[in-house]
Amino acid sequence: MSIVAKKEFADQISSKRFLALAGVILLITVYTVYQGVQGFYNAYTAGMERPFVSIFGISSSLGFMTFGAFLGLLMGFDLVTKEKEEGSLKTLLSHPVYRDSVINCKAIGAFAALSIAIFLILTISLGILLLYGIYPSFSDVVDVFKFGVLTLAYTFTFFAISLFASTIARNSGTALIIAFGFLILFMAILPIFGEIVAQSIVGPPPRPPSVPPPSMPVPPPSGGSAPVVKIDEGKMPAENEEAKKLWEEYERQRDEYWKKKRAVSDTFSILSPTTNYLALLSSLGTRPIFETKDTTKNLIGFIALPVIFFILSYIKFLRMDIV
Amino acid sequence: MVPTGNVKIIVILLAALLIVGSIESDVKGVNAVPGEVLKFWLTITNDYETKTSVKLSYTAPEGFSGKFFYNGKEVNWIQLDAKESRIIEFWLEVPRDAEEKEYTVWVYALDSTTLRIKVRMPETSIEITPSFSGIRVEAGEKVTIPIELKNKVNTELEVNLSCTVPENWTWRYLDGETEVYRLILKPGETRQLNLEIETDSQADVGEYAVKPKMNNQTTEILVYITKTHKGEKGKVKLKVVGKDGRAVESAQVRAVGAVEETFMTSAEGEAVVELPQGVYSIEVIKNGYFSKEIKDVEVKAGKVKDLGTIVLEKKPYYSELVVANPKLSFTLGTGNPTFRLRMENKGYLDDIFKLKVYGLPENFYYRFKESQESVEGVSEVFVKSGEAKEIYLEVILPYNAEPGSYNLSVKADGNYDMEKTIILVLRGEYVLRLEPVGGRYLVTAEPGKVVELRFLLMNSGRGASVTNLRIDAEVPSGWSVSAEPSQISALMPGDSVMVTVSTVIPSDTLPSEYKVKVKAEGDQTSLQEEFKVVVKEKSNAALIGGAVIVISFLVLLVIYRKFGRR
Repeated sequence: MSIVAKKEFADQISSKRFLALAGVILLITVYTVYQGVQGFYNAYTAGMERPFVSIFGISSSLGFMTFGAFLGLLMGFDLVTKEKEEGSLKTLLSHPVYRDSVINCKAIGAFAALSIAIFLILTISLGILLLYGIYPSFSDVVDVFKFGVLTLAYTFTFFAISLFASTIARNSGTALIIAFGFLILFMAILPIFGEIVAQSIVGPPPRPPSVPPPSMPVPPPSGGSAPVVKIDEGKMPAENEEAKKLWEEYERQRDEYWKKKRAVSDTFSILSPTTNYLALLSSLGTRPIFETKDTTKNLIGFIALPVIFFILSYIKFLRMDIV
Repeated sequence: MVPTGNVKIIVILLAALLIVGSIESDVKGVNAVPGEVLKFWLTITNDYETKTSVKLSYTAPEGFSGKFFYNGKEVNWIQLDAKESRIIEFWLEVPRDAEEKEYTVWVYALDSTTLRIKVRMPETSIEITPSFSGIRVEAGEKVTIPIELKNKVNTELEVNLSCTVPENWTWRYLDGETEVYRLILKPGETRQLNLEIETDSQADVGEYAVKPKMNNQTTEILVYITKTHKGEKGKVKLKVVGKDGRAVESAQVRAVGAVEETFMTSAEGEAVVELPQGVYSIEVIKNGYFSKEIKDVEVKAGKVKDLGTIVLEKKPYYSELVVANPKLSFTLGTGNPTFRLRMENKGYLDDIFKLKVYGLPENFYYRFKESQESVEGVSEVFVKSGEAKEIYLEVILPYNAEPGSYNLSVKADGNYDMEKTIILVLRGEYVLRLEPVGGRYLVTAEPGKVVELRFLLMNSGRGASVTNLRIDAEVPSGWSVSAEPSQISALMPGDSVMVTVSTVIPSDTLPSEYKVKVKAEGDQTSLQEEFKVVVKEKSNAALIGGAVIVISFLVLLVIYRKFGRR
């Protein structure tokens, strides 16, 4: 089994595709780290607290988020189809290896290759930071480690998707199209669809009351320099009280509306690995003094998706008819 | 002419024996008032058969005087033909001081007759008729009441004029513009007089009686006070001018009477002095002028007493020495203190003043200068009449001058001597100085290290120690700082102390240039100096960074070499 895994690992790391994409990610990361260091310096001299992982440019759509996803996809889309196309799968299965071992070893090999790539990118980035004289603290190193793990999981999710595409497709081209289809579905369509569904379920947002809010001064007539007339609470208690109630009711309805809408759209975005990845990354940077957002759902979705796709590919591969 | 004593009686008796004529009067007795001139018509008859000269005489009590008139001429003798009768007028003047009683007067002419004069003072010899018997006035007002006097007796009447008024009221009688207190009324004469009454401003509202009195006769006029000024103050108004007609401002107007008050005249020389009712002596005093006193100024409640214009006369020599800054606080070591003086010659003659300063401590010098920048001193100053001159007094301080308060006296002796006390307060000079060891304000350090800023803190001021010195430093956030010593109870002038400010640079500090502001705050002064701390990256940081990158690539190479081959 280890032989298959080693072979898969060797195939992965020696493939030009892997090297090219890893190289691109490394370059982008080095650039974002360089940018991040400047921002980190500026924030530091301004006396602001900034999370250490911010130097990796976590909010940037380039780097790990986009190219990481591509890397994952491109590493897996032809793993099965290529073997089928070259006929090597038959040869492989004629050896005393179980089918499940084959797919497990493919996954392990890819996972190891991804781990190496991410580890190297992160260590090189840390090296650059040291060159700048920034000494990360222990908690910073832990945060970087967590960042690495999350990124690994993220890229592995797309690997699992493409592996699934590879098991169901007849050839590599179809597999690549299917894999990219899933990518587009999870990255763009699902969030948009979630928004549409939420809108249709919840309906239009509540309208604000026609009266001005009680504490707001009445604006002066345009063009004039008339003094701002402040509504004196003591003068018009009845109207003021009524306006206050109306506004309170409106604010309550508005909050409820957005809460409902977010609940529906979140249900869809939990299926989006990108959304989950970003949500989990941003929770890394936060310090306990701020109220942390609950990312449990995102974590569940983040872990569930690769597992589901891997199980699906596993089942499909085991039942596959090899001609 | 009138026989006296026993001789008189004998003559009368002999004459009675030898009566050869008669004297008759229709009137034998009359009533008269003192001073009245009585007229009797006497019929003298010559019973002789011959022409006879008749001597006319009378005997009357002392003070009575009589005269005989015939055909309008005074006569003593008359000649009567035989059996002739003639009527002679006999005027008898009753003395003014005649008592009220009956007097007897004998008249002789050939015979004698007796006239009985009963002198009685009539109860109402004068008819007093005031124009009004009741008047309404405000308290303090003057009122004039015309009074008509008529002599009811047949004699010239001397009338004493007086009046009974309530307390503090005044009165006087005026005949035209002339104040009169006594007058003479001819028999039957009517005279118009004005009684001027000045009411008391403090009189309560109510009815008061004013009783004009002519001799022993009185009448009553009622005066009703409609409004009182009780409790109110009266005012005295005056204007003070010099002989040149210019108003004298800021002249002191001192009123001494029921109370003592001092007021000042305005720029127009005017003063309105409010005083309680009473009689005051008002003194106007002004430097350079002879003072003037106005006595018995009666101030009435609620009334304005206008004293008009008071002219003050200038003194020939009078000057004023004004010090613009009579108390001068000065910090030692910042030059020499200068007082600004102004000499104003307010007399009408020019004057020369010799200037001197007394009370300076040893080694202190002074000089008077005509301008602040001048370095030449003057000892005498000539000031023209009506002019002023600015003079500066510079006190030259010795190097060892001690802080403290010095009372000095400036004298200007001329025809008019002046002296002013000035106070010079010398304060110590509080100067703190910081000198870093080696003169370096820039320190290089590494993160995680302790930086020591060592410096000498000096009191380079003069004459005064800086107390309660607290030493602290302002460092970037996250840096810890301590000073040794952090407190100094007193730093004497010229003394210095070595201070070490230690700051710990946190290990996560980014390499950059940082500022450390060292502060030394004392009770009197404070000092702040800025040090620069350049934090450099740890010397091994670049090495480690480079190594990490190289190792990463090596690892990749090893993996590639190991697995890259089929």
